[in-house]
Amino acid sequence: MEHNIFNLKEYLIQKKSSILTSWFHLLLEVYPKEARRHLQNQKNQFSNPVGSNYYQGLETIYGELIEDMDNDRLYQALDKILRIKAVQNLSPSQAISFIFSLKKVVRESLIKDFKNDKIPFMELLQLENRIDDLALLAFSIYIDCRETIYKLRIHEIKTKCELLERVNK
Amino acid sequence: MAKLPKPDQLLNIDFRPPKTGWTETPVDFRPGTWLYPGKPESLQTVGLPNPRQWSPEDEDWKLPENWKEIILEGLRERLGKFRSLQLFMDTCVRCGACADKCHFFLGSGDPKNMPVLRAELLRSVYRKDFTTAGKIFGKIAGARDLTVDVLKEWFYYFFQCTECRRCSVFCPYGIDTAEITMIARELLNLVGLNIDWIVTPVANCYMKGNHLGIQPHGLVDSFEMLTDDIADITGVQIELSFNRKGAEVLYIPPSGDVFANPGTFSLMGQLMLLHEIGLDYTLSTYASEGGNFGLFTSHEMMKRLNAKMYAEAKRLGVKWILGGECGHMWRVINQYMDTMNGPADFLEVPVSPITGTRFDHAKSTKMIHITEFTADLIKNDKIKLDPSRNDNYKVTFHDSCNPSRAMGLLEEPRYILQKVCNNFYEMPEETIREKTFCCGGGAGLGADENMEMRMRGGFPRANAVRYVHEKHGVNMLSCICAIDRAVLPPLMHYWVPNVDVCGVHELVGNALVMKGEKKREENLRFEPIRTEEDEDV
Repeated sequence: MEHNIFNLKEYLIQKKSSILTSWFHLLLEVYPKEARRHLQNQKNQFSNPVGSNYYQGLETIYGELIEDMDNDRLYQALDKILRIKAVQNLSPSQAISFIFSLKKVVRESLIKDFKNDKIPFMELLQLENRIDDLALLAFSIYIDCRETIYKLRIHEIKTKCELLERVNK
Repeated sequence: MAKLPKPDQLLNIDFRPPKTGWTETPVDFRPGTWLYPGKPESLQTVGLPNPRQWSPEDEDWKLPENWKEIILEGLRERLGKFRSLQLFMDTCVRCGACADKCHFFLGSGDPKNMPVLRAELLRSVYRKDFTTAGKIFGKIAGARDLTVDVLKEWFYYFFQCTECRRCSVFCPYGIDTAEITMIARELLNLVGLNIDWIVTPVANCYMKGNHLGIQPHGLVDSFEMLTDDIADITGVQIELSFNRKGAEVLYIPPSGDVFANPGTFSLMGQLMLLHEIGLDYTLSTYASEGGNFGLFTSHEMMKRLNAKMYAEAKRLGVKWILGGECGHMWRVINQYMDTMNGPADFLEVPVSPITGTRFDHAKSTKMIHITEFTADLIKNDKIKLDPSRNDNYKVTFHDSCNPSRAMGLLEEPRYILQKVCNNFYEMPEETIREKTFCCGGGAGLGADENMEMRMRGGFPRANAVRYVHEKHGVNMLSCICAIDRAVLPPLMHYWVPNVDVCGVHELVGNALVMKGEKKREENLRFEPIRTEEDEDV
């Protein structure tokens, strides 16, 4: 691919489909291959709620990273993904690692398409800074989800205790 | 001082799954995914084997010395006794139709939650010890030895199946994976592997008549709290009768609805309805539980617990039994009762004394579901309803697994909902009726310690609720199962926070215009009813 004008934003818009697909596939690497097949290929959002929520979430995040970084929209999109990961058999680092893999995907794509000296490093650094910010936000969301689970547990235990106290009076 | 990892170790995050095959990958007992084992005293109460203190996290599960022999002999006995089991073991062609139908697989991405693979956990052992090919060719024929690790895997995954039977709807051979889980749990019980959220309710139910072990005075007291609330809201005082001989009907709600919100609101609706039509019925403080956790333990235990309802019906001399908004109770009644404790010849075929309708489909079990009874009342125009009292709500309906798939109760609840509220929206077609997604906490998995697993399993259901919430503004998820009413509220809290949960009869109670009632200003939750004046404002 030959580009005369280096505008990272334009490049990322143009390459959206392939970058998103690679990012999506990397995100799914934490799952065994039998599950990956389903998560990647089943398009129906009700037959494949996890895969479809992941893809929608990534798509929104990608758009926001390129454009305005609207915090509410980013929060919702990250929540869509992390709320699922927070209840699966994943460590916190496994749950959040997908954010950093976007750096890898973008770098590889740029390296493939351009010679090193033509890569717009300043713009790339800016994008990577944004990705780092995203990781911090993801950390808060992930913890919030885990805390909700603990609160739900405590609520159930308290409810049961109150009930037993009342009926055994 | 704790051993700190080096920076390069921290950077080296291996997020890929293990490379070993499924038969060689042992289970990781991560907290939040498994359930606490049965308390020894509960096992002793009902005579289950090997009562002891143990934990799935321990290396040693304190199994009997001859555990392997017990399990294999148990499997041999059941293969001879249940022809269905033999067929289920032999007929699967691994077509994959069921693979992506399990809510636990969809929510977790763990392949061993694919119904085909869950069944394979048992089938591989069956092949090794009960088929010629398996004996000779071993692993090539998909066979494996029964080891302690295999047993641990059984415990993990068979208590990670809610026996909802969604997979069986899609199986071209009609293999009922829930029945495979039931047999596997029976086998596990033979060596003392079970969970407390099942065993203790079973023991309580056996000794005291309900899951929580509430004694008669506590039960009556709780019912009276509900009738007091009804009096506050409607001005109508309802008198209940307990253990009354000679009543026409024995009414058995699930006990969960007596004690915990939002089930209590649904039960209030039912008490109001039965009062309004003047049904001659009695409650029982002995058969005070519709649910039957024996279903999740063994055939023998299911039979034992089911028998109490019929023994009480006989003792009280009623004509037939009316069951509440319960889930798995109906699987027991419709699919197993007749050949376990039935036919109930001493009872009469249920006939509604109000409409004269004869419920012939229940002519053997003599027991009908409250939504069948209520739908018939509405159809025959026997009650007055004001659906606008539910205008606060935009309602959808969750088909509870057992009433929908085990008894085909699909239309009656919907018919009622359309008459008692003005805003009813269905979830997408592939997530309702016989294809409904489980709440994630059925079959005894509604404990608190496995909350994480419940959230996984319930995600496909919550995802469909979120869809109608975003599309239509749905804010109320109705259902006809007490387990649902316990399990769905936290599920909604986690996934779709602005949606509440109710029983169908809570909405009936709100809409029901009672003789002598005062002007209703609050619904059964003591929340203000939105009036036309509010709309104008």
